[in-house]
Amino acid sequence: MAPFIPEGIVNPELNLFFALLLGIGFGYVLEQAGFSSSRKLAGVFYGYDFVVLRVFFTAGVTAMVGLTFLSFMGWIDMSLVYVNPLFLWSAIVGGAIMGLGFILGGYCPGTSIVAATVGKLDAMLFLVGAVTGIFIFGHFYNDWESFYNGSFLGNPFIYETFGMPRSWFAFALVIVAVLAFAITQRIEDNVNQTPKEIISQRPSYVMPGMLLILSMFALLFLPEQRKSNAQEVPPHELLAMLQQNDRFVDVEEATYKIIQQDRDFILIDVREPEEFERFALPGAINITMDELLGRRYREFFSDNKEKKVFYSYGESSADMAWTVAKRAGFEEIYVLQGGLNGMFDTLFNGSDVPEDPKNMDEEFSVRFITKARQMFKEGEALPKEATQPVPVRTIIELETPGGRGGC
Amino acid sequence: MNNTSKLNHISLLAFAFVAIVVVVNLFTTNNYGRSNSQVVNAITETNPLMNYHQLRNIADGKTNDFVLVDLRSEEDFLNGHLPSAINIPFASLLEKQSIKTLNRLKDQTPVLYGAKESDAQNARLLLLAKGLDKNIMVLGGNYESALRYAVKDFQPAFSSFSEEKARFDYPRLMGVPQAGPKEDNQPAGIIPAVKTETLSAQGGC
Repeated sequence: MAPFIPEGIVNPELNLFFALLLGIGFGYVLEQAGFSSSRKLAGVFYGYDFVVLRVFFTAGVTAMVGLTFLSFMGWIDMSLVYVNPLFLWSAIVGGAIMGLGFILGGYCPGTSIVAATVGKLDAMLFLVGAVTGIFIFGHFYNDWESFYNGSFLGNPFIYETFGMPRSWFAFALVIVAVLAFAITQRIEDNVNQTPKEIISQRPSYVMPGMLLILSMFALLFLPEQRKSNAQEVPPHELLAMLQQNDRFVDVEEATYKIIQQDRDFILIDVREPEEFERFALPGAINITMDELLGRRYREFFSDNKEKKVFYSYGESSADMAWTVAKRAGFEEIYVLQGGLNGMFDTLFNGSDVPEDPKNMDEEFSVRFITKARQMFKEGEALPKEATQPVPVRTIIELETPGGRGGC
Repeated sequence: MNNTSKLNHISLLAFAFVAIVVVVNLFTTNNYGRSNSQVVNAITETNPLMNYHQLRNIADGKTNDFVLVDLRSEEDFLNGHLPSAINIPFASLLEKQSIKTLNRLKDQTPVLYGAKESDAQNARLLLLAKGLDKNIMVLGGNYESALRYAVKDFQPAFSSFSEEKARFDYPRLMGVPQAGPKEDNQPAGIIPAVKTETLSAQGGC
């Protein structure tokens, strides 16, 4: 099901449209939470108003609880969700600069825009400062590029570092959040010296907090994760498909498409990268079995315009890749019949090419096979960049270097 | 106080809704015993191929640790099969009866083979996906090759036969320039890449 864009449910070109809708919603919520007031925002540092902490903690915990449940029920594939990679030192320095600016100016980037749109003069000045900062950063980018992109740590997760399951971490964080809400409320009341009558008139949040903790607690004792996703093909259907032979592409069709350099016919080499680098069929791309389900190729596989044909030396590795891909719900996937062995056997040992063809079909088949033989022998079929993995042309690389802005 | 009870009602409703969805989800759509990525890990981690030396040992009755499982149709099975094999047709692989049969083999490892190596490999993949908690092996090659190279007339040169091995010298056929020193004394044209190996402990689990 989700994520929508890598799965091809939402067209990537509609990205900006959804970004606009989400942006309007985000701005509205920020303004409603009172985030256009710099006094309110800075309150968290002086202890008289913790609304910033509560809003962002609520947002984080809500998203986390939702994702944990959706992933538990097999409705979302967490491995496909984009996680901002960690550049340690630039994150620390950037965080320090942002914190300093937050205390001094009373805004963080997102809220300054909200405040500027409701007409706050200081926020507009803040924005001018932000733009100046961006300009300076861009102008001297070459000087600190190595620092900016240095100490790259990939995507470490706290729960993985501690070696505990995600659900335990989520449970711990929910407890921390609930405690933080209670404690910050206390601090706030003490600092503001709120009268007792007002405190007693507030609704009690004991029940919702307890239910939240209880639901996360229950998740700890349910089985780790659903084994099948909602969009997967059930095993019996998969078995039935495996008994039919319509997933096979025969040698003639494959050689014809290779000779024609058909763009809608993509060969996928499932052998190891070293073998792929040694040689591969012209135009083939290399996707090994363990990369098959990754985020990187999800968009490629959800694009059903091209015919994607798995091949290996024989048939079985390619066929297993097909089965895994089919279970994941990929369409327009095929297997090269007989694999490389079968293909070259037909082409070079060519016992099944008749000497004088009797009809059109046979004549065509003879022509293709002779042409293919020539092509392979003369090295015409050799892809120009045979020593390097051929870049995948349909993938939009999602990883962006460097950090993205927070709120 | 009115505010509190309203809040409690809303949160209880939300909790009940989530609980119902989770419970309904728990009792539906549970087709597989392993997630797809667990299956990928299981098949890329281990090499399940059994070589023909071991097959020879089974055929000669020297070992009792393996059970050959024939995945071809019942008709083909009756027309001829490897020694001491049992028949589980590929079409009925996931039926309760078949899985029960496989589970009943307590200390013995099932070794799958079929008309094609890919049938056996896919059968193993499906059984793993279904959650069978058992070591499953696959006979290299297919029924025909096993019969020819191991049962009828044992040829050590073909002992680790597999459809998944390169049969030709592809870089040469495709005119790929070879890096490094190249042996010039090799005959031109197609050479079989089946390696002649000495006996070695290989392909175990």
